[in-house]
Amino acid sequence: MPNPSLHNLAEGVDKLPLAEDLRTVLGPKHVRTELGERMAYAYDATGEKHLPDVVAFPGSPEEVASCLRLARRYRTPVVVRGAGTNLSGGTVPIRGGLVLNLLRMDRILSIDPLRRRAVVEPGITNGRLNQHLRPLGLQFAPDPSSMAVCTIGGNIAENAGGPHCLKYGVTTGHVVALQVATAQGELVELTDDDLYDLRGLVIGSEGTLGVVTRATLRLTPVPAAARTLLAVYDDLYAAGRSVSGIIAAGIIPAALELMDHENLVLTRQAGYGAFPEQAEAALIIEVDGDPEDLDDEITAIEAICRQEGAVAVQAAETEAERAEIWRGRRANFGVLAQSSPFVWTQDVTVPRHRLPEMLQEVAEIGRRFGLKIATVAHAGDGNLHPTIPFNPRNTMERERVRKADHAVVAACLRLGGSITGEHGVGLDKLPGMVQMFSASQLVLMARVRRAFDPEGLLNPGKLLPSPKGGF
Amino acid sequence: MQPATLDEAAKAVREAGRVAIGKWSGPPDVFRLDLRRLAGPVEITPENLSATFLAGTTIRAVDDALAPYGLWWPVDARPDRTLGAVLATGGPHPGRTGYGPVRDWVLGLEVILAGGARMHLGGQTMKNVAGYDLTRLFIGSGGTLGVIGAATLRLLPRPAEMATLILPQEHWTKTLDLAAACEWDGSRLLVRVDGRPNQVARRIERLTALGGEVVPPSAWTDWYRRSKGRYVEKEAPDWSTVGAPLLGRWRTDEPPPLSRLALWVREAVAPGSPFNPAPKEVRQHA
Repeated sequence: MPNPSLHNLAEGVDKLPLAEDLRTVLGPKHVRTELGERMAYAYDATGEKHLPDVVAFPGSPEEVASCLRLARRYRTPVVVRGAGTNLSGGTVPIRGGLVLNLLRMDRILSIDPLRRRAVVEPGITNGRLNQHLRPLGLQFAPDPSSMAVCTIGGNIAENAGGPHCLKYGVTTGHVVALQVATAQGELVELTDDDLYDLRGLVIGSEGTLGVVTRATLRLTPVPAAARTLLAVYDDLYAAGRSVSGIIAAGIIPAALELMDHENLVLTRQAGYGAFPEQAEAALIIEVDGDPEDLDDEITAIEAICRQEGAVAVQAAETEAERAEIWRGRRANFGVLAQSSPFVWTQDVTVPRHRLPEMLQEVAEIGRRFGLKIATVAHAGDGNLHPTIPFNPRNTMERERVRKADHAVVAACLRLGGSITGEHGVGLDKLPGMVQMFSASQLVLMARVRRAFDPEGLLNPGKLLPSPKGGF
Repeated sequence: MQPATLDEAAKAVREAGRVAIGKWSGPPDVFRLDLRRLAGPVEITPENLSATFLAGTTIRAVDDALAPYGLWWPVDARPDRTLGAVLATGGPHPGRTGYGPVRDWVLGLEVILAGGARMHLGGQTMKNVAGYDLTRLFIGSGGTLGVIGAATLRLLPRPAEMATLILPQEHWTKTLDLAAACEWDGSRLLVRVDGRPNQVARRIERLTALGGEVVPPSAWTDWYRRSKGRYVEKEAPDWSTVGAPLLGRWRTDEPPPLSRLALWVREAVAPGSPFNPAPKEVRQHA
């Protein structure tokens, strides 16, 4: 496993001048330097580990700004963190420094049902916000699988997706305005009406352009009705073709998810009875809207699935059955992660009609490198998560995983795709950035980064590769 | 100058000093780049619900090219404007009410940067978080960051039916729930509904109950004609926050002042600010 850095393991970091100054600003109990506390912020959902020097828990936008000014004075790297559920190593403090934990800033400041707006602090979880919105018949639409625990600030930093983004779009379409603390420690307001969409730049910037301290969100009415189908296949590619067929027929369901054999078996074994164990693949297809409209769509979708070779198409009859299907789907990453000491998750996205080809490529790469690859996909968006369970202590296996990763990324790019659809680049996908972008494209992004953060203190070493002598 | 290819346009940018794109009224000595000859579809991919067009294509021509495939771009800007102009200004776009801003309906851009280098931004996938979202940055930037030469649009299946209604303004919140597109002239609303035939019929029923009256689709043309060149100050915050039946964002010869951060970003993306210089001195943020 990666090593915690040794330079900052020593006791006595509580005498760090930065920590002392932070204590003056935030109060002693909101600044932690004990080893145990720092250990807790050394990693995220990916498993890479590196110790920060100090962890601070600011309670307001002004305090965040103060923390950034202090970090700048001491030229200390800053990594912002919510729940740490990201799947790309984005919140691992690889250069030590200051971790800003925003979980104390978890208030809903206002909800305006008439104008469909909510103003929230970044530390509130997606799940809790949606609990508050439900009784009003409203929702914040992005629904990453970790929505019960992940924060809105994290959703914004990663431009998070989720199953229902097929119909509703990813996070950036649901954020109207942001208050951001800049690297210089100033608070600025960025809105989608600005001449330059700096709001759109900050969304998905993985903590490299500023710290979101407040967000104005666009709310969506909860659909009047929803129906969910589970289509079962004894051929993975038939499932892939069904996805393309549904889109080509001009139907955009609310969600269109694919699970392959490995996933189905593991999910079933974890106790989710709705999923078949024998099948090669299953599609979860959900339509929503006015109840009067859903029958037509369900009929059309079912016909396409059967025509492409579905062996069974079951509709969830009750809300409980429907919820069970989604619980199983959301549990997927956890189930996979428990099945092995370590999992490598990809997030490749291809143009939608390339999905069947991409599924074939992944299967072929798995065979070539002797690896078991389990794939789950937000299939309607062409977004796949091939996931490889492996043992990181086995260096040979580790090398094969690295090569397979490179091959999957190359295949996705050959098909006109993107190396990441929703998980972000973080640390894990830095090699893919070089595969995907030309030097001049990377230089342009680096120039934009430097415009926001001239000293390179915001989440350094993430998102953009830094070649020798380069940016 | 009217280049016939993107390479010609790039070469012109490389050799020019300051460049005014399209109808931008820059200072007298500016080099004028007219992209209307760079028109037509590059690629239409119905299975991906996407299509790439050159920037000089008019909105009407975009729609004509998509119709035979049963495809539709939900940005319904004035039909005689070019795609490049609509993307550079970010609107106006009545469909924002139901479909969100123009920025949500573009997957990628081909741009010409300061110095004449061509570059792809974004791509052709529905989701893409690799690096920074420069596509959105260029859309609505008033052509000040670079020349948009071509764009890959995110499409939808063409609605089976559409209808246009005029309504009194007082029930605007209920109207906006049902409207695909909405404009406001200070006292009345012009509304478009779309969807499958039974959906449209249901929406018409609800809107007529609110005092709506079905009018021919030519009402939009009249509306555009009357609103031509008109600039609506953002004096109605209620409107702008719910979905913006705004006719315009800013006058074409006078962009709003940029924040300090925005100026830094402009210098990073377009060093020396050669594109669409202001006729007078640009007002700068204090």
